[in-house]
Amino acid sequence: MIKLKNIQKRYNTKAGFLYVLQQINLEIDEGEFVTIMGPSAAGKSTLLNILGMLDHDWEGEYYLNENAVHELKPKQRMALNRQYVGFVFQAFNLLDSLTVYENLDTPLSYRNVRASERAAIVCDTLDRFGIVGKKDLYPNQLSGGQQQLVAIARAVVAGPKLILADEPTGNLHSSQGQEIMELFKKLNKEGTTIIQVTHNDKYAAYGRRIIRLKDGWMDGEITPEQLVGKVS
Amino acid sequence: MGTLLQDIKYGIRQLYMSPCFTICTILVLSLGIAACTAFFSAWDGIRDWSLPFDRSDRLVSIWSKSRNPRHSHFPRLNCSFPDYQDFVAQNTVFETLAAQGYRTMNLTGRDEPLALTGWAITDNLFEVFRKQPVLGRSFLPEEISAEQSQVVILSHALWQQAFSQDPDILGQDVTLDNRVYNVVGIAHPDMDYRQGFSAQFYIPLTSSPSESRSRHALQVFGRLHPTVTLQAATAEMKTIAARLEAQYPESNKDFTVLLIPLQELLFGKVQGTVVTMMAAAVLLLLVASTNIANLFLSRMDRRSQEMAVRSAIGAGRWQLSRLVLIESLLISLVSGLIGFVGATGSMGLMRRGMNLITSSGGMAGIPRITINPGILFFTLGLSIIVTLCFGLLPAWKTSQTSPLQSLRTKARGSSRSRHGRHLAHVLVTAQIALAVVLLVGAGLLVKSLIQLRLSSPGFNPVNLMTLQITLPQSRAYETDRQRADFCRAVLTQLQNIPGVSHVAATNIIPVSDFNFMRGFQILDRTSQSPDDSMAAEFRTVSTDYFTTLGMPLIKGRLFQETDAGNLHVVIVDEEFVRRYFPNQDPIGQRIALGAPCEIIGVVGNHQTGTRINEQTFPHMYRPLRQACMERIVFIARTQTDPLTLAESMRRAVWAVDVKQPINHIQPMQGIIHDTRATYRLSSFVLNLFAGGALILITVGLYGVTASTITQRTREIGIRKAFGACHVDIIKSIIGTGLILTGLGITVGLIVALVVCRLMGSLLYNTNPTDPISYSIVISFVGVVSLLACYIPARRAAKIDPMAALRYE
Repeated sequence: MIKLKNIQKRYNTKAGFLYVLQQINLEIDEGEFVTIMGPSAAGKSTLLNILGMLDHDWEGEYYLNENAVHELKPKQRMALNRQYVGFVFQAFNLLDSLTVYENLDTPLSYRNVRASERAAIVCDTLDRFGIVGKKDLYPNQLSGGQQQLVAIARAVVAGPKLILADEPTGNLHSSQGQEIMELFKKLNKEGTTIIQVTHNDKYAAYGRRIIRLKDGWMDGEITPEQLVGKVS
Repeated sequence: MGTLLQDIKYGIRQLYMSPCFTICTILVLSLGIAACTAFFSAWDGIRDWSLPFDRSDRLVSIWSKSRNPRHSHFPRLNCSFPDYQDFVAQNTVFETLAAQGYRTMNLTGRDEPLALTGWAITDNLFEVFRKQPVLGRSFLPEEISAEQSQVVILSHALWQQAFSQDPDILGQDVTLDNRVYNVVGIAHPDMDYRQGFSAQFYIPLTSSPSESRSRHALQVFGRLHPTVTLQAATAEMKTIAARLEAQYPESNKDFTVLLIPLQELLFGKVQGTVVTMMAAAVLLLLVASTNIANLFLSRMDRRSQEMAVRSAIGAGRWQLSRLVLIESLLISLVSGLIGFVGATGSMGLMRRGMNLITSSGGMAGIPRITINPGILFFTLGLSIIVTLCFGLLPAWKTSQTSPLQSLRTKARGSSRSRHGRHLAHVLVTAQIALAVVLLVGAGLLVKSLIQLRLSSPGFNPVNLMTLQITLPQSRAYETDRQRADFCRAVLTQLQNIPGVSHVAATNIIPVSDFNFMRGFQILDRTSQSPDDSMAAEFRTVSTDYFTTLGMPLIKGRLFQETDAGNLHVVIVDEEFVRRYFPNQDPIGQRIALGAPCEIIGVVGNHQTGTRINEQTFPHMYRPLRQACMERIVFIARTQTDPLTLAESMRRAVWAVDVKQPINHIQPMQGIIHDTRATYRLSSFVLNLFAGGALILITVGLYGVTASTITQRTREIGIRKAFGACHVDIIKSIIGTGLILTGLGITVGLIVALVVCRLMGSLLYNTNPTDPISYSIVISFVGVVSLLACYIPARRAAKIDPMAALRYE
């Protein structure tokens, strides 16, 4: 599904080029659950931005479902983003002025889905995530876990094939984090490809592949079992 | 469509959830829109005002203009009758050329005598204006050529008021100045086009063969041929004037002509005041706009985050922009609506104010000022542009940077981007600069107003009552002596009124727009050349005139009762001496003023006209008993409120002549107060706007400082955690505010120095670069800025470091 060839990202500073990502070569198949780990400033989020086609200023080759992203114009990349990608953030980033229902409705409206169709999809999603009772509440009336649940519901409402989650459990306590990871696991089993960035080894182990980044370079790839063994 | 409605719904909710921002923005915008719409509509009304005559753009007034520097105090003069006749005979550029001369007459033979003002006109005056009488006819050529035509045309207003619109008025006789006139017509009401100069009657302008070319007493109007331009007409009339100058050098030397379109003649007088007010309204709108921009900007970060989220979940650039577009439009439309209501509500006030200004310039019928939809849409459009530009900024910024980056930056509690902060600072600086310009303008006008209040017209106007009459041109008052006897009798009656300490009489009231400039020659001056034509304002005054008014005697002596003899005496003022007897003792000098007159005294100067910046005119005074004219003003110095003696003064006149109408009775302070009404109005408006601007810059600076503090909460927490004390925090925040204020003040002062020079004609005894006004404005803005920064700075200093570090 995803194929990265020699991806690199750099900033031009007074001191010369500052490389954030270098020589990233990666292939991710459809339906995979991949975790990206690494210390701060390793380039994890930058890689996520590139994968989500929110960052256009990079070099290399990126293929998403046979689409040569690197050859596309920003507008075409945005269209591809709408077709394939859903985002989940550490800080939830729900729109405060919108109700739960409206938060789920918004991504669909951006995809020009007709109103009647949108209502059906939103209701179905609310039901699927067990948040029908919360549909008229505003984000600030929900707990952190509930907010992240809504954020994930928002990420999947448009039926993306790929979910990119940037430290999705970073702002949650352990039991809430566990619930969210179980939800990702379930979504993955249903066929959604998931790429998450996390610092938490336990949650990282939900991924079937764990890619390590360091100083912008790929620092190898391990399996969950290797990670658990390392931890123990 | 559904998505659009949804966006509108979300937009309304977004605004509802930010009540402070929404209310502030709407209020500021409404204020700007209302002020601009009201003043520009008024301006439009005044500009669109046209004389109520067919092709009024072809109507031109023709004036004499002297090139002699000695006449520089007169921008233009009326024409003489012989010159007018030559203009008529020689010009080819006017369809018709007509003349009118000012007349006053007393209407008697009815219940109460009435003092009337009117025009003696040529038979074609109504033809020039294309307004024939509504009843009867105009004058016939034979009535003009006759030496004593006893026919009159009444004004429409006089016909309504004094004759109850009698339909059988034509052919009736009326008594004017004890002579019987036959009414031949009722003038069209549109002939009252010039406020303050409307005629109540028209009589034929009969010519005398001996009429002097030096007597500039006629107003001349012409209607240009359809194909002739003003430039061409001016060129031809100047050629004629040059011919007359060569032909009659003794009277026409240095005289040329000046052609002014009638519309411009009236409009030009009010232009300065109205333009100043409009400039103030524009400045206020600009201050309001920068304020709005800053309000939007201070909201930018929150919007940036929201935009980033929307972008991350699939919103395109247009979808992001549309959201902001809708919110901005909502704000603009609501503001436009409130602004429209405000402007409509202020139209009544605006009409009254503008009427005051325009009537001072003689423009009648201006109250037809209404909201101009074009102007409303323009100001609304401007506000939409401002709100859109600054509303779209976050959307544009999001499209330029990675949304996730924006979210990450926010999550880390970073402050506003350097670009955003700089833009906010630039806007605050611009806002302060604009407000400084407005405040300096208002300050200069306040200073002028104070100067005006402190200024003396050259005499003491307190407890002075004036009563104006015009004696009829009848046998009873035919000679100077007869008129002087009447004066003396009235003065005796007035003197006997309890509460009156001094009484005097003169021909022209001080502080009035009536001019009576008379030429004279200095006798016994060997170096005098025939080119030295001299002129001064001529007044005839009673013996006690200077004492009654409280005018100081500088040199020589005042008039005495014995001055009525054969020796003709004259008193002059300091300006007269300065101009015509520099470095000489004027006492004992003789001037030819009809008869030779000896200068016996020098008195102080006094204000001649009603305009505040008028230059000082030279005056010469002759005893009333030696030269008493029909127009007489009695002045009484009272020991009590002069208004309480009004009735007694009227009775004193009627005790001498029961048929004598009273033209006008008013305390002198009231007369001076009226002359300053326009000035007070423009000062009030400018100060109102300056006050508004001051509030706006306070809000603006406070908003930016408060917003900066919100952005810097984490940073302040860290600083405090590392040992910064309250004073350090306050100093750092106030320091930034004061730097912006200093910059704004500097830029504002530079602009004010240039712009306020244009206000020169509106200022009285105040230099456009007056250091006191500038210093007060600087101090005022400085203090206000300090307060606007101190309040949020104090709040910032109280931030709990632990709470701040948990802030995001």
